[in-house]
Amino acid sequence: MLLCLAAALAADPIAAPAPAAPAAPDAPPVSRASLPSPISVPGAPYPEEALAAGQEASVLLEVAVTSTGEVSGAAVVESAGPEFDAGALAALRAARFTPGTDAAGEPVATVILYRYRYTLARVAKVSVQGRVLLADDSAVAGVALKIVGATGETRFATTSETGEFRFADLADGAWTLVLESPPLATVTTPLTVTAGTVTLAELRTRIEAPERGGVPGEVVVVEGRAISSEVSERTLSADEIAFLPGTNGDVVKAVQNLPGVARPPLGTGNLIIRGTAPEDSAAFLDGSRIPVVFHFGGLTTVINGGLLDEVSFVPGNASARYGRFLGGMVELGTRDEAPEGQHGTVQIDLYQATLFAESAIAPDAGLTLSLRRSYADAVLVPIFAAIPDFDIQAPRFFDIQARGQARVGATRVETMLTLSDDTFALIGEEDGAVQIGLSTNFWRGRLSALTELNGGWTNELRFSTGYDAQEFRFDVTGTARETNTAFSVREELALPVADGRRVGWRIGLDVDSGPQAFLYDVPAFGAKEEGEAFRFAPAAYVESTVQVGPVRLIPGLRVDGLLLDSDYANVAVDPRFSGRWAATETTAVRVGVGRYSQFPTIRQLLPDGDGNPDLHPASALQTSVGIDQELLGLLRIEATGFYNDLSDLVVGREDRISFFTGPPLGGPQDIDPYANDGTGRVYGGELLVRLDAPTTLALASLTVSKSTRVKRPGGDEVLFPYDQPVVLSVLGSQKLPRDWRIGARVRFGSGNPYTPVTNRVYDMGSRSFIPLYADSASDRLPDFFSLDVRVDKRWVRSWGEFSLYLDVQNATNAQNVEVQSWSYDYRTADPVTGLPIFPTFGLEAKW
Amino acid sequence: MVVLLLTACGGANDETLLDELRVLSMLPQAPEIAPGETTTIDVRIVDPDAVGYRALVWTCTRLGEDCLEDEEGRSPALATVADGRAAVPVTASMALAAVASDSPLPLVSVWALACAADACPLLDDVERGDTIDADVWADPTDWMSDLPIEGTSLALASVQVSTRSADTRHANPTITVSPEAPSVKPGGSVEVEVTITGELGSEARVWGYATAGGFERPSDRPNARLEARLDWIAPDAAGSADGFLLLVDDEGGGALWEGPLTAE
Repeated sequence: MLLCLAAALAADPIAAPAPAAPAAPDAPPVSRASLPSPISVPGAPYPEEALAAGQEASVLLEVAVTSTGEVSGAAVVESAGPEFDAGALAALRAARFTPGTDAAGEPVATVILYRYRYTLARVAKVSVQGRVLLADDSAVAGVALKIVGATGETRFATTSETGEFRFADLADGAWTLVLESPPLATVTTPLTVTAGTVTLAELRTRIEAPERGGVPGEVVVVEGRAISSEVSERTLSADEIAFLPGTNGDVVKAVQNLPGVARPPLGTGNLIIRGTAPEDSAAFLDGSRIPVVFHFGGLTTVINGGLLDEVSFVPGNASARYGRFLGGMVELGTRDEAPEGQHGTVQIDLYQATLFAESAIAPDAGLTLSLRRSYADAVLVPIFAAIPDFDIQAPRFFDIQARGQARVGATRVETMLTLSDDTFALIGEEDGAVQIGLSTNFWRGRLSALTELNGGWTNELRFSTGYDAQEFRFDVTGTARETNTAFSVREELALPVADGRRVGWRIGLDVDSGPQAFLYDVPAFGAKEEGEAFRFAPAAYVESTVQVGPVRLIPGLRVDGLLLDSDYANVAVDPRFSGRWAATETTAVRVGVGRYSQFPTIRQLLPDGDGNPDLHPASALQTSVGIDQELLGLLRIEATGFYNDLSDLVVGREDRISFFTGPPLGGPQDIDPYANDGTGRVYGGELLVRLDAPTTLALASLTVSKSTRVKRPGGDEVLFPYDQPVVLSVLGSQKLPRDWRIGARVRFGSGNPYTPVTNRVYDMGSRSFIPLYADSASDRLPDFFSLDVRVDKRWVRSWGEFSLYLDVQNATNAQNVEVQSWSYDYRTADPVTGLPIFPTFGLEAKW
Repeated sequence: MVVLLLTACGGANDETLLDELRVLSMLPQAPEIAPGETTTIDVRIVDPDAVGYRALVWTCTRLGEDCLEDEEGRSPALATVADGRAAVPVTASMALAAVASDSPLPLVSVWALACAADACPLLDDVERGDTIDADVWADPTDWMSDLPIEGTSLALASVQVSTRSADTRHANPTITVSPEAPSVKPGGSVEVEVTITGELGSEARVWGYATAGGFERPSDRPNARLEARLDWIAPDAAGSADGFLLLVDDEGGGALWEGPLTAE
């Protein structure tokens, strides 16, 4: 039964006229009906602009209270402005009441009116307020804090969903603020409380579960897990990153704005990290390698950002936990904790739609589901219709993630299924056969358990299985295909440095195995190649963390092996070291040096695939030195110098068709057999400057580097095809009143090297021109420039929030050259330009 | 990959338009010769803008870094070109008897270089009778990069050498074209049918070229009746053009038809 009452209530309950109870014939008409009374109503944060302006306000809300006193819903009846409304709604949704009763005195569900008041007098009573953040500025919600006075008086508070907390009515004098909530690192901060003022404190902590990076500070955490514990000023939030222009709201794409990342060719989402090829870097999902990070064209990450707790970008000197790559890495980390309550998101824009839903099914247990489907094919049909004789199938992509989580005692158990599929095809109009087709898909299933053991140790056990395939079809009969079935296990014991413990450990096994196959049968591109093998790639690693005062030393060792059936066996031993010295509270110096090995592909190894079974792993000796500096509490500056020495690179057979990730360099090819003859070096500097003001985010990243290769001993040192000496990205996002937000990003990058054509020879046999090239990589494409802008508007409603955005990439329609091609006779350059002006309009609803 | 392929799909048949100085064809009158025998290479050079040019044709039977012809002593001379045509004798060295087999091998390379005005200093050297280093003839791609791309045309053809008896050697086919003088309204297209007589190698194509307008497709494979068809698309303005239909097979055989194409 729902009893509807109307009452204007202030912060203190005001009795309303009781409803008339039905009269009983044999008894006096005594009604026991009552209204709900508030037990606890959390304080809403006072809007900063209103506080500064001395503005008071009140919000009238309609609040549904269950028969157990919980709030099942709230809606604004009389608004005081979006920020006031949002705060009041959040406060009432978290409030507790005594249940209302009917005339018989039985608890019943009720709907009441509640006026939430923002008064300056109440604010003035607040003594200490602040936020709890991880080092990447993501908020820590629901964590308990205590503050202890000089007399031993102790008060408690819990952080809100935005990580905010406050203590009111504290006596003047010294207090100690304590965050002590495992697995978060304990933080203790002395404070002084003075009457009439509010002491601000921002606690920065970290999760003491296994760290994922190598060099502290080298790990640029975009969202989520942190690496340091300190009290600092207000800094970047993950929410703000999601609004960065040019990213279309994709959190992972924010990585592309960071130093160390070169601009990918042709607008693809490939990550070109510190002068290495995309295939030399790795992407992981919770420690399990995944073949791609982005869907076609780099538009969207293959994992819904709503599932992610962190995106760690490690441009170099990664932890011994990771291996089998020469360059950098990106780790997508999903949230450890099960969802609370029920939440959902619907996103729709010009080329894709996403549904995300999560629900708690029991305490510490929940389910999450995400579905995404593109309809870029429909949008692009008019463009592709210009191509005669073909129908277009796709391009389209979809991805699905389903996840279940539960806590069983000291163990967090999780299972997750991830599926991603991208398809594109040109279909012949006459015969219906695929003329050109490209598809990439993978799925992963995972079962994992993270157990807290005695003595601060944790044990992480993950089983993962899946299948990857990429296929290229050409000219009806031509097919190129690579497939990989993965069975992998990671078992890791970790003991973090914490609570006076100065030595931590990470010890693990990382086993990857499964059948792998390739087929290259495209007559137009050369002879057929085919091969398959069972891959068994075990690895073991150990890493210690030693904290000596302000100095943290992390030596590590990783040993990787690879066995292919009985044809191939090899081992790589990679010692690594990193360190960090917190010179002052605002200055830190970091250093890293280590070896990173990457095994040849099975196509390069198998004799029946024209491979060379004598190949051994290529390796990179990565070194880096950096300094982090905070200035005035608003500016954060990170500067890093690096030098990577590459050796034993596999070279040869450049005439073979392959799934390349960027435009070919052009020029003469190395068609000799595969050999470990290649060497290279990459060196440069990176600078990140970040301004975090209350309503403004500004970020500038600069990378200056050079990447060269020598294919064969005694050969010339030539520029690497992805070498971009200067990459500059400057972006800003400004929050405006009434929930508007605007942002812009400017990107500049050196053009990629290419090999120019100097003249040509006409071959009478093939009736075609054969180009004559200048020295390899002796010229560059024009510099790249792009201006991206974004406008967001949000509305908060009783059921949740709703937002619209316009994201315009390449707003000036700059004609950036991505590939240098030539006319059929090589007389004139015929450059291929990249993305034209690309506006995207979308909407999002959250509840 | 897809982006590159899609970009390759556009602007198809510019290559049928002859709009610069070019060595268009080099057809040996006998596509397969025995060691010690000589054949004549018919070189066809087009100069649609009438810039004027000189041409040099030479042979090279590669011996590692050098040419066999240099060991036997030679002095390449400028080819005599009249109306874009040159007939240059090519001899297969007797030394090839040691390596030639029953299967024809493209052992003798024939190079032709056409240069406008003063574009190629090498031609001045040859004209003066200067001594030229032997490696210049062995691999002209080494120095071709130093020449301007406009006003120069370097082409490469091969002559098959074998010890097969004369009656079993591959011979050139002949072609006839219908209509003999294709004509169409400006901007229109006309089908040109090529009929082939003689034997072809296992692969053959007929290529179309014109000094105005262009062919819809650059080439066509002959059908079982040894017929091929190409459509000439006339320019928008009335006038005549030089048309060329060139049959080439994979054993060095070929035939060239040339005639007027008229838009009226």
